Amino acid sequence: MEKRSRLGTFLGMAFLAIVVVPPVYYMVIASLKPRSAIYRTPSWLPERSSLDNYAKVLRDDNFLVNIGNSLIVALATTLLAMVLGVLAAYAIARFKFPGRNAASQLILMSYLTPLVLLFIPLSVVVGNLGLADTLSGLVLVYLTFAVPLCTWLILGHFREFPPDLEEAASLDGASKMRTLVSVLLPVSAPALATAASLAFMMAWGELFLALTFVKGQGVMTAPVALQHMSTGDVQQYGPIMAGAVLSAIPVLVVYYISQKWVIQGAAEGAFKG
Amino acid sequence: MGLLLTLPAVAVIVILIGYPTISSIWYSFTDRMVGSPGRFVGLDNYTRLVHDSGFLSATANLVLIVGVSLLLKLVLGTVVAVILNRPMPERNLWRLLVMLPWAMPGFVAFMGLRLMFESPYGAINVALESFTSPVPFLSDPNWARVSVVIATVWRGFPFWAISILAALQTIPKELYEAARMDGASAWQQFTNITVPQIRSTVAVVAVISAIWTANGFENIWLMTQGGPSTTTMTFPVLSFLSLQSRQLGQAAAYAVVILPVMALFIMLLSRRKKEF
Repeated sequence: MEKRSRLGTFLGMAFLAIVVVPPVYYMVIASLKPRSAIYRTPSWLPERSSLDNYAKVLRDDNFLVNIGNSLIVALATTLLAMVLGVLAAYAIARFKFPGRNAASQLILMSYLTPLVLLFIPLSVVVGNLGLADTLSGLVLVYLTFAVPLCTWLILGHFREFPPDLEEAASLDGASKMRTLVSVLLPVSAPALATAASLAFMMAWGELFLALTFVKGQGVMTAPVALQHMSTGDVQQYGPIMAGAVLSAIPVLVVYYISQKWVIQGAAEGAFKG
Repeated sequence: MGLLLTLPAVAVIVILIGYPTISSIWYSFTDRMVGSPGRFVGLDNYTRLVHDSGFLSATANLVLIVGVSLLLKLVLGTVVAVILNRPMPERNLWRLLVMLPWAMPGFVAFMGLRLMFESPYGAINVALESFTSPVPFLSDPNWARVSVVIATVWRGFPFWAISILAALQTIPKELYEAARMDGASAWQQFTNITVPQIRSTVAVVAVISAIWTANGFENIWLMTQGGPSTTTMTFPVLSFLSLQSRQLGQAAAYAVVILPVMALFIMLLSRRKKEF
């Protein structure tokens, strides 16, 4: 019995590794191959690795600019969505006002609204605002998924948290906003981390809206720039994979740091893409 | 004061989500183009769809790609969750690894997978070199669907696995102990205890995943762009292509036409979860 169970564990781990590892491994290997060698000497082995592709994508393709754009857009989206989300969640969880239930329903419905339904009129709106092809325009449209996501996740935790502590604070004369900042936010740190990490990860990797809203070389985010490279010469696979690996790093760092909360958030159904 | 605090978020939702949703529906009844407001054309954008091979293909792919992907995500997600629920060395590390396809940016995942499926020099064909001549994974209509499904499942199964794992961990151990005492086999324990206990989680996950999978764009766009011809076409890709050719009205019709399906999913969801 004991032996059988250990074999089962081993088989289980082998299965997980076989499912997850090969594409990730191959991507990294491909990015390390000497230029053009992916096609000339296709192989699963990392023979003759070099950083040529990284040099190419960073130097010749100015990919750092695109990474920088992704970073600006993801950070701005996260920050704005968190501020709006915290305020709205606080109001819905703690105040009685007309339309409170409607507001909470609205947030969930808008979280489930597919982006494809929004992007056509949004392209007109963003154009009319003079924000076509700008990072600000992209941040604005990213709020369509980030605000409902952050509000919904934070609201869930505010509701679970008993209001006793805050009531005590307000008896001591603290204002509502002060109570939010000094009592409720500190105890909600895990929920805030979940919401912020997920918003950052989604904004960082978003391709669909980015393809529509940022087209100029200087404003392209990382996914748009790589997609452009891939529509050109097939031989570009090496640099593209180098770019892909580079753009995965910031997200994986966020994922690693906040793994506990992110995985928790995923299990709660915070998922888009 | 409550009203005041919700105002910014509600404004974002009304202006950036509510207004565009209604506009999309309106656009879909017009022949609006980029730079021309267009006029009301009734159901023209919809009646045209009947003869549109992209539309027919996208409809079929709601089952062939979206449906099949969901089913496989359920199977793989359950298997992986059951494995992760067993005692194993470094379990947290394994959990972290399993979530990797979901945690990495989607475009990175699909660009990498595309490289796996390339023909003749993609990773899978290289691995199969000594057994078969190169398989046209992305250029043969049937293989292209298979490849897109595999890629979609690879990207999406961790969400299922982690949600099902969370449900598994709430099942009281005593249930299994009692069943073992009664001599139930592992399979009987799975079907009689595990399945009923995770059923409601699976239902919610299925609906959410169905909505996102049906609206998936990057999986198709980065793997096949809907091709070869229109075999792997989906509604979001059709809509995107129409916008690229500046036909706002037609693009909106492609986005609106699956709304009834989405509404059905959301109705199922609200039945399942009462706070929804």
